[in-house]
Amino acid sequence: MFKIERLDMHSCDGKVYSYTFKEGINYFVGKNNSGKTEFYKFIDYMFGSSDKIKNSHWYKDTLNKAVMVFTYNSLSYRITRILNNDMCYFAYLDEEDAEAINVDEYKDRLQAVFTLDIDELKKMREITEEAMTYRTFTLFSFLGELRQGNLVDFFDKCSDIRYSTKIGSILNLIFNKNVERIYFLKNEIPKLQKELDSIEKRHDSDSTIIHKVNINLQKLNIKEFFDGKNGKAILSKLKALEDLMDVTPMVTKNISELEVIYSNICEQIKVYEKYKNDLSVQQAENENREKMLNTFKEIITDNQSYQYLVDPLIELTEEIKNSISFSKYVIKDEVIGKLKRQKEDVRKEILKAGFQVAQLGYDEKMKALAIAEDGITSFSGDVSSDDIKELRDKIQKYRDELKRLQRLDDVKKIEEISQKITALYNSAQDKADFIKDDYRETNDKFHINYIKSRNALQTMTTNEDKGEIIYATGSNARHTLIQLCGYLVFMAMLIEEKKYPIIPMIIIDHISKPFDEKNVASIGTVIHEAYKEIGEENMQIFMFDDKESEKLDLIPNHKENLVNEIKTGFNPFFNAK
Amino acid sequence: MSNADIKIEVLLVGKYCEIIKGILNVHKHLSVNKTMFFAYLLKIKNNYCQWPFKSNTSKDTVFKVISLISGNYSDYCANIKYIIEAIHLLIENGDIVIQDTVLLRKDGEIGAEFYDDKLIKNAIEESRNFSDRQFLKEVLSNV
Repeated sequence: MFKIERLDMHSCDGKVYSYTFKEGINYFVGKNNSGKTEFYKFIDYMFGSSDKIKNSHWYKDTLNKAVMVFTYNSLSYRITRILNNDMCYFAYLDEEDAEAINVDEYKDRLQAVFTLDIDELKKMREITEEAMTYRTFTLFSFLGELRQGNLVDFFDKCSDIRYSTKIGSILNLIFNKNVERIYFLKNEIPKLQKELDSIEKRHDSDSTIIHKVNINLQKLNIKEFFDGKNGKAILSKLKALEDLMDVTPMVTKNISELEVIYSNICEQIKVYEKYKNDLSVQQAENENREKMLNTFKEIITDNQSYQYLVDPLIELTEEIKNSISFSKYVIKDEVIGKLKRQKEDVRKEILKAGFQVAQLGYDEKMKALAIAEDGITSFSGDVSSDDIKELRDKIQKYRDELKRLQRLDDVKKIEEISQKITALYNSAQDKADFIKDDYRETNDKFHINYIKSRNALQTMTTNEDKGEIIYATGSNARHTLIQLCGYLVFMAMLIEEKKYPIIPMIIIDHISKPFDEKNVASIGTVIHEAYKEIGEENMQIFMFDDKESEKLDLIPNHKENLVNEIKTGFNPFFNAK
Repeated sequence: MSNADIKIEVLLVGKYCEIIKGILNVHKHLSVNKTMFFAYLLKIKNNYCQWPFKSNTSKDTVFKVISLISGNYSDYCANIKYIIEAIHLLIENGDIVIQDTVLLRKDGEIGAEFYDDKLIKNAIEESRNFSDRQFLKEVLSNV
């Protein structure tokens, strides 16, 4: 469920004006120069757009801040942007505003709100190799006036370089049915590559190691020869020898401290990775909460006198269901990455500590001991050239599969989209002559195809001789209606799939412009038809237009005139006269 | 309880008393929930050669430090018992007071305990922007 409940505008001299909205269609009518397009842009601004609106003459010296209240999936939020200093606030509706945050943090919070499934988002990032945020997905929500009737790259925001660079990846994602497999392959290939590198290296170094170890064993007066299989026996001899030498390495932390650190880090990485593989984020959190509650309860059972400290914590833990997390999963993965590097560093440090002993005047034997030990531990002896070849083949196979899958579109899904757009367009046949013409001239073979490679909506017909051919049409009104159908069908699909970080709303600016009196009613018909599938509670539409809604055959849930006796347009504190 | 368990308890509670005094000497006041977390973090500091983040990092410090205990959550839960005991002891002893759910040091400093860790200092200050509920939520969903 999604609903923007309210937009409060605060003037520089402390006055407040509120716009209230309803579920479904919110219709704002206003003459020229009453701020329709400004309102359109302002909604984008409230959801984190980086437009610099503070210098616009519409707001300068009149509007101080704006507060928007919206509800999404049963939680209500209050978001505030202050125009002059780019500061923002984000709070649950039932909480006070905390400290001010900057726009980036503001967007992070909103990202958390609109992320329905963090595991899916992770996958999207892995697959597209791009950060997919709710901001990117706003391109499905804004149908502006400038590119009305444009059927190639038909989303309005595609003219903006920030979105046009990402649209390809988004479409690949939406229309790929092998997302799971691609995700798996993308993760698996680097792992295998790393494994290959390491076994190749081991294979190369094994023979040199045997030689090196044996020279040093001789220095230590150990009679046995290392042949790659008796590593354990020789190591224990070396260990016994080491114990005889009382060593104090000259590093800031001694070897035993370093070893403790090493094992702690190993343990932490191991537990994290096990957890990450076993559980989804939600499950993990529920288990964590359960564990925390049990810990608290145990403490009270052991000793009643702690009750005054623990009871509020129990209450807090139980309340937690009504919150969302704002953090970014990237940070956590980064920490583990850094810990892995630290683990390597500690290992090196441990080795170095050993060497220092020798350099500090202990006899040559100490050095030899370290070299021999290191040689034996790093000796693998289990790699044959067949293993290497097998692994190489596997990686190549995975790479080929990945390439193939990435190019493979879900043809069925694209067909479904095309059919839905055609059906929606067709539903307004009684309201617009151009639709009737389309069907008459093609003997009812008219249909609209969605072409993914160009992100285009193409009008088509079927010819008995040539099969499917392009049916060229003119009229900006026809194209605009097809574009609107495209927006509605895409949004319905994205809402239904419940995995993309979308804001479930469509903002439409002055759509009636290319239509004449006789066919403008088709707009209302397709919108109401689309709502039958989507449901009013699931998506809000905001329309700004200069015609009355009745002419568009539209029954809005909320209607308001931007100009009334107390104001001359969208910004209630700006006087156009 | 075995003799060894008692020894461990005494050592840990003592250590935590020291840490909590240090935190409150630097920050004056902090809620029980957040104190618990940061006390634990300062205790495990020695598990690392150094924090995996630069100490002068100032963006998202709360999320960063929370993610440090990913994989350590069970240990954290096991430590809560000792931290609560330490807080209780300090309150009984009159070193600190509790108001609602916030721990405050009395006028002046308590003892000479301080801590010097820029990352944690930044994180504690940033954590004041988080309500207790939100902070706990972040801990549970990010460890």
